[in-house]
Amino acid sequence: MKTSKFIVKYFDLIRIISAVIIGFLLALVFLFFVSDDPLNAIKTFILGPFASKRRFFNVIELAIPLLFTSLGMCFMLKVGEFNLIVEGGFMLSGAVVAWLASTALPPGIPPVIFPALLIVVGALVGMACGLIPALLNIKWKANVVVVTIMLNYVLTFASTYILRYWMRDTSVTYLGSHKLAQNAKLHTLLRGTDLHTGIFIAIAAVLFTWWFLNRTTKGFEIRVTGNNRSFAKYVGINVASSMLLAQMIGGALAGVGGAVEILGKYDRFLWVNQTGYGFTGLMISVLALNQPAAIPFVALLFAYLQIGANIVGTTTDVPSEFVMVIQAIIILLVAATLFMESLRKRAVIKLSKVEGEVK
Amino acid sequence: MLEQFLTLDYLIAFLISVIRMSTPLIFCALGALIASHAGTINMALEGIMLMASLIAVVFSALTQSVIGGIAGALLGGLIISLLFVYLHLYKQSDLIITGLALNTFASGGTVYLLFLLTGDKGTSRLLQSLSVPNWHIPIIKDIPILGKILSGHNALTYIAFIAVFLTYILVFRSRLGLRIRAVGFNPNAAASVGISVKKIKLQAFLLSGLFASLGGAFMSMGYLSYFARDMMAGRGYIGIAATTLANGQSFGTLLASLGFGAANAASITLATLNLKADLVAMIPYLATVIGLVIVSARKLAKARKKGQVTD
Repeated sequence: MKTSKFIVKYFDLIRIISAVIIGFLLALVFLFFVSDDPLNAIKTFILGPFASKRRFFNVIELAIPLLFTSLGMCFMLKVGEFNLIVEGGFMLSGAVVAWLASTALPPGIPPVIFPALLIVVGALVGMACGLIPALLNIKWKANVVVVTIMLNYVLTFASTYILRYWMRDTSVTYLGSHKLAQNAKLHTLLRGTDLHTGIFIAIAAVLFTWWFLNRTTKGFEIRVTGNNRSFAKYVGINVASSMLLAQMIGGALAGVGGAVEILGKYDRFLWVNQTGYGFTGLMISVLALNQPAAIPFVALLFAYLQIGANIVGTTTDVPSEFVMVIQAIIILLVAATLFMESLRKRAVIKLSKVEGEVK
Repeated sequence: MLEQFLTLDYLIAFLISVIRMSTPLIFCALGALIASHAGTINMALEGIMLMASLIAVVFSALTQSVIGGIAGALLGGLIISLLFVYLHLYKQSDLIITGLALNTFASGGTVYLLFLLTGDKGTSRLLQSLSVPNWHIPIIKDIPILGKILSGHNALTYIAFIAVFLTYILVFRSRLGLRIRAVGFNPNAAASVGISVKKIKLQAFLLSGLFASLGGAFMSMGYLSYFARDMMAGRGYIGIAATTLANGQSFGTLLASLGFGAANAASITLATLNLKADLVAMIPYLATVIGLVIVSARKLAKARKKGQVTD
């Protein structure tokens, strides 16, 4: 009786945790097959991220960009649009901000003002990125998924164009920008780690997303629009404007993320490929069931998996890409509505039987 | 600089390149076409093609036969397709999330498998894999200019063009095609006359995956002679766009694929001219977006005229 009640009440949580556990076990199986020294690889994967202060903070540092992209995706999914521009917006914002900080703006702008200004620019770049596919969709019904995936490639090449022709430092052998101005960078918080003040901005973004979606009228309209567009129209919500607003904010969050990541972790702009943070953000948001309050935990989990895989990749020669498979499997399980459905059904039947006997 | 473009040799080389670049897009777009007639969208095509191209290389190296390689491609594509079908049709998964997750799955999975089999994380050059041979068409190859352009392509390229006819017959002239379109047009009506919607969708998805798999085979056994990680570079999505552009018509899909192939070939030709490579590389993707917007806008205008859309 008690367990049945528990199962029905916390079914979503049980499903997610089971999916994560299955994914984790599969990760161990994968490592087991590919490694010459499987036990060591497994140990490195699980305990590696906790082995030193630097690695532990690597997890938190990685969670920062993931938080921004997953919060951005959360806005997109809340309004019911698969706007994947978060990926490209993140990268282009990073490129524009890096260009401003390394080449275009004078390095003498005072410390706090400089990064604040750049982050605002990043937000605007991201917002514009989110706006374009939203407009194309609202005005002409162009398929958002395909359009944004294509635009992500366009934005990636735009970023590498900025890198190559606007800010390349030809005195270094690799493809990289000039050094970012010291005043533009976000401060490192802890000696011996790269943890930077961007984490406060990330936490603020979580609080903002939670507040906006759950406590404001606009946020409510966004959620209603996402749940049932016809109903939203019927009760007088301006569907087009809430779709536009959600996707602009989503893009802006990605843009802030790109700016924060560049200013917090890099000396030069070095991205020549898509970062993948946007797609990881989508997975995080899905796994968190689009609940802003749950996103930080899932972001930390994904960061932990990724850092563990990276350590395995650098120390044991097993390719770190196996973690993509794990992440995908976890998402596939969670997205499968009927995954573990029989467990819930059995619990519901048991409960109703008991209730029937009491009466 | 521009004069080099206008010479005949350049034009011929360009057209050959267009046909070559279009081949994987045609296969993939035909896959997308079948799924679209069943009223769904096969978001996993990118992953299906990627897995197909890896397994093609592995099987052709193992069996030392081209047919073995093609069979491997079909098998590789089928693995992802079956996962997709199972999760979507039998576990009620979201179409887009599942498709995208499967693409991630294939992207990471191929690198993992590649490492497991060869110890390399980038390409399969260590495997002694085969390529699909080029076909020289008897009479056509002797026609002066046309022969150069049309003959001597990879066998899969010709199969791609034949496949356009096959899908036309399959979708518009066969029993199965009629059922697929019925399910896509109105699933409830189809179910009411005794068609199993799930079964038809399943068949449509598997067929869709098989066509796309051949595109995957072309990438690693024709376009290149080995597998390289993430070698699809968005072709799976461009294929979906091509079908959308053509509004599900098979010959229109062929034309749209050739158009994207031309954009692709142009970006490669222009890149050799020392133009700004990053801008040139955008061409195919930008062309897709612009094409999609134009077609969607026209469709919407038509629907408005008929009064089907009121807002």
